[in-house]
Amino acid sequence: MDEMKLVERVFAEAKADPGVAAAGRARLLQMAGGEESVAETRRPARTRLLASPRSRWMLGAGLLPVAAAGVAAVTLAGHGSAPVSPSSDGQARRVLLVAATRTESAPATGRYFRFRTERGGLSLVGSKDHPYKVVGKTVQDVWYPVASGTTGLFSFQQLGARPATPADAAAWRAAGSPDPVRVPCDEHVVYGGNKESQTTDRCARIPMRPRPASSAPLEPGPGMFGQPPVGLDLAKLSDNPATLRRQLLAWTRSGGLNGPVEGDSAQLWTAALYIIASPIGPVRPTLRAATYRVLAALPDVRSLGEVTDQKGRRGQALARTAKSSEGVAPGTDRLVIDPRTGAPLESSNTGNASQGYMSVLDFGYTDATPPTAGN
Amino acid sequence: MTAPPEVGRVGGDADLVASSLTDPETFAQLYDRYFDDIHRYLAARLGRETADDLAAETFLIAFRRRADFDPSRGTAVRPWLYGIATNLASQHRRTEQRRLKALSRIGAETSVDGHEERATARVAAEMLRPDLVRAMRALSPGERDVVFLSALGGLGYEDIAQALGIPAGTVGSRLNRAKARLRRALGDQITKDEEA
Repeated sequence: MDEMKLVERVFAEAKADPGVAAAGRARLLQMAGGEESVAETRRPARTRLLASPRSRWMLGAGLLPVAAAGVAAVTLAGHGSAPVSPSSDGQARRVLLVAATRTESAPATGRYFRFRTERGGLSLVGSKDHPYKVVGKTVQDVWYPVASGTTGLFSFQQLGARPATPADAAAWRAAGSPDPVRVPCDEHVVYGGNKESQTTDRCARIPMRPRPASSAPLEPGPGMFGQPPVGLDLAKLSDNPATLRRQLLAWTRSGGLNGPVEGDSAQLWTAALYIIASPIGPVRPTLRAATYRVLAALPDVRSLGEVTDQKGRRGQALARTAKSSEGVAPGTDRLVIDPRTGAPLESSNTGNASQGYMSVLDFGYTDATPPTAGN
Repeated sequence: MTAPPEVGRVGGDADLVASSLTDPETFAQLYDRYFDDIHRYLAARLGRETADDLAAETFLIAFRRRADFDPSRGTAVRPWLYGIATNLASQHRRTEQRRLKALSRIGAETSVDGHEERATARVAAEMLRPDLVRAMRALSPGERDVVFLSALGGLGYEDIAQALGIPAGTVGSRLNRAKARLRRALGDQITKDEEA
C-alpha cells in the first residue's frame, strides 16, 4: 500500500444517497429550464451511455448491439500447431511480438487511411410481452484524409437482420413478420439532450432487409465518431513501446476511459484495443507495432490459439478476462489477429447479452477513392 | 459489447458542454457522469454532509460558466470540474480542518475493535490513520489539493495542472514533496503493511 492508496482508504466516504444526487440533478435541470418531474422519474446512472452528440452516430451506425447467437461459441479451431492452453502467456507474447514485426512493414503512405468494420450482435426485439431475438449486422467505413486536398468520409450500412433461432423466427412470423423490428422501449425514459437522437436511441428499430449505405463527411474533433477519444492524440503517441506505455497510462489515469479503471493491465489492454481494433484515425504501422509490444508485456493476456473468426478467417486469438474490481466491462475480451501480417481481424467480448463482435474488414493507408454518398 | 471500445464509452464530454450551449439539458448528462466522482472527492476533504451541497453546487457553477469552457486549449471536462470543486473546497478550510481533527481522533478509537471490515489492508489503514491525518494537516493547502486530486480524483499530473491552473511541473514537485512528507510521517510502517 502506498501513501496515495492509504489516503484514499482513510479519507474516502460512502457515496451520496440517491436522493441527494437526484435533488442536485433537479436543481441543475431547473436552472437549465428543464422539467423537474423528469428528474424524479429517472435514475442518473442509466443515462451514462446516452451521452454525447455522437449518440446520433451510434444509432445511425446501427450500433444496436448486434451479435450473433453463434458468436459466443466461436470455434476454437485447434490447428495442431497452437495448443489451446488457458495460460499460455509465452504463446501470447510470441504471437504479439511476431505481429508487431509483421505489421511494421505495412505501407505507411497513401491519400487516405481507411478503416472498414462490420459489427454484429444479438438484439432483443418485439413487444415486452412477446420478445424475440434477432441477429443484425452493420458495416462502417471510415476514410481519414491524409493527403492535402482530401476530405474524410464516413459511411455506414445496415446489412439487415435475421431471427436468431427457429423459435425466434416463429415469434417474428407470429408478430406479422415486421420490418423493421422494434427494440422494446419506454418513451418516458427520454429526457434532456438532443430529442431527436435520444428518442431513436431508446426506441431503436432494426431493419430485417439490408438498407442502402449512406455517407457523410467525417466530423473532426476529439470524441466525435471515428475520431480518437478525448485526450488521445495519435500523432503524439510514441513508436517506442516503453514511452507509449507511459503515454497510454497517463491518458487512462487522467480519466481517458470515462470512469476509473483499476490496474495497469486493464488500462493498457483497453487503450490498446482502441488503437489496434477500432476506427480512431490513421494509425501508423509503427504505432500499431508498438501497441502490440505493449500488450506483449502484459502479465494476463493469454493465447487462445488459432481460431476462425466471424468472417471465416484464420487468426490467432488473444484474450484478457476482466476482474470485477477493475471497473471495465465484465467477461473476456478477445482480439484476433492475423499472424502473417499482424493485421487486426476481430474483437469481441463475452461479458454481456449481445455477444457482439467487430470485424475489421479493411484497414490501412490507401490511394483508392472513397465511395461517394449513397453507394 | 466492449472489446471493440464502444463509441459511447469514452469521451464526448467537450461535445456535451458545447451542445449544452444550445440545449441546456444536455448538461445533465455530465452531471450523471461525474457527480459521484466529484462527491467522492469533496466528501473525502470536507465530509459527506458538506459534499452533498457542494457537489451539486460544482455542477451549477460549471453550468453557468459553460460558455467559458474552451476545449481548444486542451482542457478536459473532468479536470475542469475538479478545479471548480477544489475552489469550493478552498472556501471551506475551516470545515476541512475540523474534519482532519475529527478523523485523527476517530482513528485512535476504532483502530482495533471498531465495527469496520476486518480485512488486513483496512486494519492497516486504521492503524496508520492518526499519523497519516496529522501529516495531512501539516501539509500546505496547495499540497493537500494535489494529494486529494491524485488520491481521490485519480487525476494525473496534466489533469491536476489543468484543474488548478498551474504548470504540470509544479504539480509533480508538489506531489513528490507531499508524498515524501507523508512517507516520513508514517515511518517505515507503510512498507511493512503490504496489501493482503
